[in-house]
Amino acid sequence: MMSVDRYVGTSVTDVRSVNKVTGATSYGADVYLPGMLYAVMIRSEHAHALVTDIDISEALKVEGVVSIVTYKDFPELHYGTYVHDQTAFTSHPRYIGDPIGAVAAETQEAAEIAAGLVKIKYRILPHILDPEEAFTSLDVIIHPEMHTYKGYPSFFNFKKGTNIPNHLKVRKGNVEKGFAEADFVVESKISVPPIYHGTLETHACVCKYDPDGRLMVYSPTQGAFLLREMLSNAMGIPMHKVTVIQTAVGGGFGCKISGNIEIRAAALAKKCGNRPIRMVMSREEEWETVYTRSALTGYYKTGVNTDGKIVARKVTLFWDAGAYADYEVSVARSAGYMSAGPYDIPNIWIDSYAVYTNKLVATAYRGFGCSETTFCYEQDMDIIANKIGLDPVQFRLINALDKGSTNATGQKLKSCALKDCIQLASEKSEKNKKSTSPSVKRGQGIACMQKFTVHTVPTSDIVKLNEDGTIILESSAVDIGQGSDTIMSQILADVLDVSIDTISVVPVNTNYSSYGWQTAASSKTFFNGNSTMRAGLDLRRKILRSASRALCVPESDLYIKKGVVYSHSYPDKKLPFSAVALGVYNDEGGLSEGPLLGYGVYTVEDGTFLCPETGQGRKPSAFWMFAAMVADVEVDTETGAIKVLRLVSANDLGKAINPKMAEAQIVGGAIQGLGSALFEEVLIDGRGKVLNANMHDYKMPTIGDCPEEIAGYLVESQPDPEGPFGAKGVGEPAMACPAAAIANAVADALGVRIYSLPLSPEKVLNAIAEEEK
Amino acid sequence: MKAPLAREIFEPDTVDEAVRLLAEKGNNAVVVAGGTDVLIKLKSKVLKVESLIDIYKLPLNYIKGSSGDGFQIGATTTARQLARSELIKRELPVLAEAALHLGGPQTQELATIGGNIGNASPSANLVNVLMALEASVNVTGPGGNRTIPMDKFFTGPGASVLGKNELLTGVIIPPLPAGCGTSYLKYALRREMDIAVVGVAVKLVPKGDSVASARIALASVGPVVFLAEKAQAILAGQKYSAELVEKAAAAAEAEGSYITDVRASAAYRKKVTWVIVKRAIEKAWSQGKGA
Repeated sequence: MMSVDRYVGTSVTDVRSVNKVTGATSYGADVYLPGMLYAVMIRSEHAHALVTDIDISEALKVEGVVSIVTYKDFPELHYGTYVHDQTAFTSHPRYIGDPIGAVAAETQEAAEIAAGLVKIKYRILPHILDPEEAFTSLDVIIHPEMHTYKGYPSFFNFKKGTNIPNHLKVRKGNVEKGFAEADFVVESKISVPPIYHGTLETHACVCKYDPDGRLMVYSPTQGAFLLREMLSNAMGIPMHKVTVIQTAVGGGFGCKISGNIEIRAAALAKKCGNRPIRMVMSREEEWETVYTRSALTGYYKTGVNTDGKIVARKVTLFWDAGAYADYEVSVARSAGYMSAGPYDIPNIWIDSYAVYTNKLVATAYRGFGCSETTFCYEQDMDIIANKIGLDPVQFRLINALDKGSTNATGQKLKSCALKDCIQLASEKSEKNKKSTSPSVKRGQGIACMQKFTVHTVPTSDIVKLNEDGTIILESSAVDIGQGSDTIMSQILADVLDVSIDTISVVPVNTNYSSYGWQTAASSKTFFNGNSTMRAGLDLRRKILRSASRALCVPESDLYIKKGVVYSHSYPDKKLPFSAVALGVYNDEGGLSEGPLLGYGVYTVEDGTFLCPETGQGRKPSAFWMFAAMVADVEVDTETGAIKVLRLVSANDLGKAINPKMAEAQIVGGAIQGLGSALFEEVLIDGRGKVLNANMHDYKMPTIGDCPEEIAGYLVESQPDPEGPFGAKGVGEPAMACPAAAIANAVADALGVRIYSLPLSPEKVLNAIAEEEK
Repeated sequence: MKAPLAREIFEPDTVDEAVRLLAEKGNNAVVVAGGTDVLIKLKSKVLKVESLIDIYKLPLNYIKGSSGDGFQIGATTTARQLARSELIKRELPVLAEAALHLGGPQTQELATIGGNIGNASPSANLVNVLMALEASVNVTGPGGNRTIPMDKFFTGPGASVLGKNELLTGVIIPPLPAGCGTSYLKYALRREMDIAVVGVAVKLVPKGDSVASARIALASVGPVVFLAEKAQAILAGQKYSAELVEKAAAAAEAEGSYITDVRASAAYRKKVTWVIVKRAIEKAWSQGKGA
């Protein structure tokens, strides 16, 4: 395969690709165990209600039904990621689809029939769907017992007796004074609807509960260890009795970050003897009842001087968490503190609220609110530039953060190449205003973004040397398609100086793998890259020590080349890795050193929490990522249809470990962002029911909607001093700019602006008509 | 493990055998060819039948004819075959175009022209174009054969004059007059793999600077695909001009009926219908004049 001196920085083919393209990869729904049963959820038909009675007698009579569980016979143990506000099954459903119970049967069909025969009596409660209404509501409280929930303090800053599970505050400088002194003050209200993750693979899992109280779960999860913790909490089983086995993941984008159907399936498995059960969401069921990206309404007020310098920005964000805020509190927090944009602003005031409503659950979606807030502040930036008569690119360059700048939370940036990104993206996007017909107008727009990662997460990896000198990496990073297995292989191959073909990466099994956080926050290259590197160095040290003993040459005289240890002083002395894998024998047959194993840990020792009152902290994010994108569009002023002609992105990622895969992330994110810009919206009616849970009525872009040119430029001018080989991340930033850049391009074409997504042709025509009035 | 979609499947070898089976199984059977509509309906339980009569073995997979004599297309001819047929691409490019925008490649590979007609969807691509081309439908029943003009075939969404015991065997398209121009514009929210907000197919026969006759078929703006007869009458015999086209487009817009649903509002559908009809007439005119 590859034969290069260094793998880092080269476009190694994805190590998972052969099995993926030949169809051999085994995903969640591909797991079949002997004696397996099929499970179907019993879900609430009402957005807010109390279950007063449940009758399963008819359902139990269906041929093939083995077991039915409901909230009644399963203890209501709370679990969650950042807030423990959920139970496996509930008697207080808070959205249409909230799980009340589940059926296990010999066939899928029998389980479906039985689930339909369960009779549930409800006492209907008033429901709230609008987050701003829920924010002020004192009579409809969706989680009256919220103050009793467990949660992470810095993520669960709730207000007792309200529908607000988290309030993130940033207070920097004096924002009112800033407005008073500013030459202009501009205000806008911008909104973003819920959208659907739409991964190729729907949620799926297989669970088995043994008579001795051990639980085994196969899941395409983004975080096997978090899932184990949730299962342990929800089921009341200690962790040593819970095993989570990672299957291949057919796309995550955040929807598989947290335990969901696994918890319910495990609860059901407990009542099925030792027979495994399989629960797989149909496309429609997942769409209607599992997760969305949160809707957002953002209020922006910005003070700016005639020279283009932004002096103050006040931001109020309402995040629609839906019925449970498990992960949404984190979105409100994280998106909150990046919501003033990648600009050097002395006075900042941010209030970011997660708000419960009676809708399906909102969760992480490629960027934790990054795309949504970028859509808000980047439109705001163009409104201002337009008002003070500055070129949008120039206006951004005046205010852009730089290396050494101090951002909204008071963090000093050790790597920031935003200005390079802005310049590169605009240089590569020569303007062409010529349109094909008089009814078609062209426009160009730019957007910039910033993205935090986590401040620190415990990350560790294990590297094992096999008897033949080949290597197993037990990576705690979950490859959800972004290619972390390949990235880690490249890093490890370089650290050990071996051929990449001698490394296998094995998926997480919580019994054997060392601890790793989830695949989230574009963190894997940085965190697991570092811990893999350290595990590799640990193994390398041990190999050299063993070789030193075996060759009777001091360690300082040894070096490694392509899996063989050589001596500088004695060129004929050499040992392949295989010779030391199991240890070193002395002359009498005594064995020492082996078998060899490397262990590496990475944490950010100087990471900090945020002050709950001011949102200030020295290092709330291990690094920051930046990007700029220029979009060119054509708008048909008669139909309102938008055609995206070109998307040019420049991403500050520190260092591309694998340039082609980094570009693929950018192109994929651009298309996903284009979908959210032009088409995507989960429509929910007044009852709280999803109206367009199918591929016909909910549009995702096809290749036909993509521009001919999507360019992803990799900006490596500012390697991160702490990143592996200088690398940061790129996955989430890839999706952040397109909606904002396209919206700005549309406004440039038409001279009118649309303040909400998606930019539907109908909204375009309405905006044109409004302007002509 | 799912239950089968139907209890029994028949695979007749001849049209007569298929017709006999239809007579026998009657109300509890459905004819299936590509299955791209029928299987979805069965799966979602919109349609419930005992028997499927799969007609893939019947000798109905053909494309024949010429512009001088007209064309015959067998019922089991797939959208892909239409899109790739040299004859169709050369002589009836609008039909190839409509076939190319019928779902994605996988659907096109299976979906048949007979199925597109028999399904009687108000948004059917091929029906849209066939109606503008003045096509007729060939049907065989216990009493023999009959031919029904396309614009008299549909009675409502999913409903047509096709009897329960009749088999749709193919379509015939009359010869195209010299110099005649055709166009097909499908406007959807997404460029591909989408249902039309409005579909417009036009056949214009020019005579010097005037329009001798016009056929305008509209899809997705009524319970069935239909002819915009008032718009046709406005164009017929008149000198071609931008004003005339706009007048005809306005008449066509008035002939449609518009609904608000999750995809678009009635007001938007109406507005866009005018635009697309106008563009389709312009396109057919410019295409025809050159011929």
